Amino acid sequence: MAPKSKATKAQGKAPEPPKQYPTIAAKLEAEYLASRPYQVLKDTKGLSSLTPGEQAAYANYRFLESGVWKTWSNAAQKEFLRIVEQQKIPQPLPKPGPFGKDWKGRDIGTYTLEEYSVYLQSQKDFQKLRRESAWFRERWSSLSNTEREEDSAELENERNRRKFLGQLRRKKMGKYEGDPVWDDVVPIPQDDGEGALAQIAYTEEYAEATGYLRAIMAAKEYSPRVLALTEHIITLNAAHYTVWLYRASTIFALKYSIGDELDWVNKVALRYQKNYQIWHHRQILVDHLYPSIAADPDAKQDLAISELAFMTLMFNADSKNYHVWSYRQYLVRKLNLFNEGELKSIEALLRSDVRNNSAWSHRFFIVFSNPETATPDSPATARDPKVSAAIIDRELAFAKAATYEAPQNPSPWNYIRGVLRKGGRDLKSEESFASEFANIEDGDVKSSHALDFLAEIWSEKKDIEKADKALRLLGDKYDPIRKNYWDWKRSDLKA
Amino acid sequence: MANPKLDKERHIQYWQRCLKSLLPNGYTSTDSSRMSLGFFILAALDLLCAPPIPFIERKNIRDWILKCQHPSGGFCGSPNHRYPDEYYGDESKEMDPANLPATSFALMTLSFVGRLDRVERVKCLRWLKRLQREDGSFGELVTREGVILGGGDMRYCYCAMAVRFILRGEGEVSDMEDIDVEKLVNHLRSGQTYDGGISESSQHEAHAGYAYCAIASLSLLNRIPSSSPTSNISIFLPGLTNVPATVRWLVSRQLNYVPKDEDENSEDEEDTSYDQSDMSGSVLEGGAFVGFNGRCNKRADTCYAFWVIASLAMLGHVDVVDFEPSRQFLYAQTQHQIGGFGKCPGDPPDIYHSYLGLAALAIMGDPDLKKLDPVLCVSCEQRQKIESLREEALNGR
Repeated sequence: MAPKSKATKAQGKAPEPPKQYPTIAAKLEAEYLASRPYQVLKDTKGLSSLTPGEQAAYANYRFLESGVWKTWSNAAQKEFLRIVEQQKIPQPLPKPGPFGKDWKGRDIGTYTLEEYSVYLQSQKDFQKLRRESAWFRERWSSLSNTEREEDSAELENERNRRKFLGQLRRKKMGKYEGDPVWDDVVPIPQDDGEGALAQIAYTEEYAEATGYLRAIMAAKEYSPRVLALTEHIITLNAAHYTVWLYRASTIFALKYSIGDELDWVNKVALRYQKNYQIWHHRQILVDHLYPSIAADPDAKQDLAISELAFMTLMFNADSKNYHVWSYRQYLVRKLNLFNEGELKSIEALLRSDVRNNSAWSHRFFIVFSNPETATPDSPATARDPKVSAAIIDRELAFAKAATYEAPQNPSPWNYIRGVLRKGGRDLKSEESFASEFANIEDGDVKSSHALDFLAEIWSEKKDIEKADKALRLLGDKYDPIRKNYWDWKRSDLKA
Repeated sequence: MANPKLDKERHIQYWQRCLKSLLPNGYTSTDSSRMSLGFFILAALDLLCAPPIPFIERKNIRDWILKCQHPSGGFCGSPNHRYPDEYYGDESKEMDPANLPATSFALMTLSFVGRLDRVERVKCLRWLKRLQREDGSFGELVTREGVILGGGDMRYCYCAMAVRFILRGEGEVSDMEDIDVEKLVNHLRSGQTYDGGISESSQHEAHAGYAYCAIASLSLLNRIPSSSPTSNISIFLPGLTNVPATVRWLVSRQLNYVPKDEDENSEDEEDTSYDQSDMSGSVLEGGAFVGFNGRCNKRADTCYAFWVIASLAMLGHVDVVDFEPSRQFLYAQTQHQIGGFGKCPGDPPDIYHSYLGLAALAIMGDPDLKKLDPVLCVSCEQRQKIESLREEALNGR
């Protein structure tokens, strides 16, 4: 039973219960009950078992609680209060309400007294920070840009303030939400709707950033902060097709240095090698830059050197990266790099890997699309009389050397066929060369591609028996994976 | 694994997970092409004869796709590229434009869950026409000022032809000026490379994906002799430059796959089990597993099985490939135990490779899958449905 306190005022405070409670809910519940002793009495014993004195006290407690006594006359009120004091009826405390749950889903009522006091403090801190932040926003919105620049310390304070607010509200403050520099922008959220297809578990970071991007694009803003925003989104999703385009527009609108942007792209490209947009962006930048350097051979050379240097880095990581080869072709056409340097570069690549088909393909392009020595726009499969015999011979020699190195590598064999066609020469002009790799009489075959080559020659020469034998050897022994194909070629022969 | 085959139930579970739950955060880099992911999901469930999607879910999907429709015609890749309608009202605002691949996937996906009546057909075809360049190629998107952006490769040509097929069909539709067919055909033809393959454009390296796109585009333009026996073949008009050379190139994409021993700790990128650069013993035997690469001297990858076999099918020469070892490569090497297919043996499954693995098996006549139309890369049944939806939309105008 709670010890009674010393004499209290007319309205009476509740007698103070002991302070060792496991939880705040328990403490408040105890205090609540202690403030209504006559209710407790009535509930436990029943109204009819109370003494008349107790019943009267109970009735007065009810009057006190309901506040009905305040409607009585002054005299009656005074008398009532005198009796309340005499009967030592405490002022009833309200029932402790539901405490709610914290961010972990735990009922706050289960907090210990210390935990609860910490909680109350953090609520106070939160409110204080919110007030300060609101005050900051109001002040900031009225400042000019120069005034804002001078107030960078206060800006930093606000950023920190918002970070704390994020922690206190248990939801991390977003990068843009937490930065006053973006306060004027209202992000446009994605409207995915119910039951969307291919829903992705985006990070909050990505969802926030794309919301800001949409707002910026809708407002057609081209400013330095947009560069930061687009860079951020690119690191989260380098395949976002419009963020690159918008970044390029921003670069051009701001007349930002193309060289600086290329440096930045270099860093990104090494991280996202399979990304196509990066190379397209690069192309847009070079297209934009070109008119200003078109008349300046030194500037063009510088660009060629720096671009080729970067491409070499990319090729070191992946020598067959299709986008990089695509870009290289673009650059060769743009800066007219059909030259010895390119050929040497390809040769170096092939020396380190003779099987790099991308390099072979690029060589074909350099040689047969060179406007000085070839017909412009001549299709790859067409004869080109403009190409000199010397070039045809040179390319044949180059490819043949590679076949000796790795007879089963298909690339140089395909190359030879392509070169012969360009030169208007029949396959049979290289019959003796091919025969070095395949002798169908004694069955010494070093290369199935040579056999294929010879089969075609013999077919053209109408030497059906030999051609058929070669095809049979291919299907049965030297290239059985493609047996169905070789059989089909055989039936074609006879047709 | 005795007699590996398609683990149909596993695949259905994999695809239903993709349909119903959130894709992992790693898919953020495909956020802009969610429409393609959506297509693969619905198409896969169709190919696998999975239980039909309930009405409410179909309606939600339909609404989601239509939500991505751009007010100026065409579709966006995902709602991340779509703004609330009021933002488009002012013509001076350069909004996120519609995207060509997204549009083709949107129309294809829509055919699984609804009709074409709410597609702005005329706007879309008009927008499509603006995407064609002087050289006949198509871009990915076009700005308000008419600048065509994006690469000029065969993929966009294919997407454009798919859109045209679904909205315009083959008949003489007089309310809409057609794209420049001859220029496009010239562009497609010019993609053939010196080794018989087809490349991104003109002088680039031949690539099986682009080969497929070019051939499928020509097929949709009726320039491939073996396409649709019932339609009017324009045999006197130009098609592929040199079919035998292309067949030879496609057939060369096959390689013998030799599974690595568990003991071997091989991190060698230029692993010779992937290419045939030597004539040593293992290569001489007919392989138990035949994988397909996309370019000469590259590694085998699940998706190329589809690009190559489908290309051969469209050219009417699918028999030049031996199906059994090709199937085995997919069943035993890239099929994943949780369902789906990975890119290379041992890889975890991803949506793109998982669909194309199924598609490749379907062309090869897997009994657990529906028959596949190689041109639109959906079941033949679905192709017919698309054609009838198209007719319905055309007649209703």
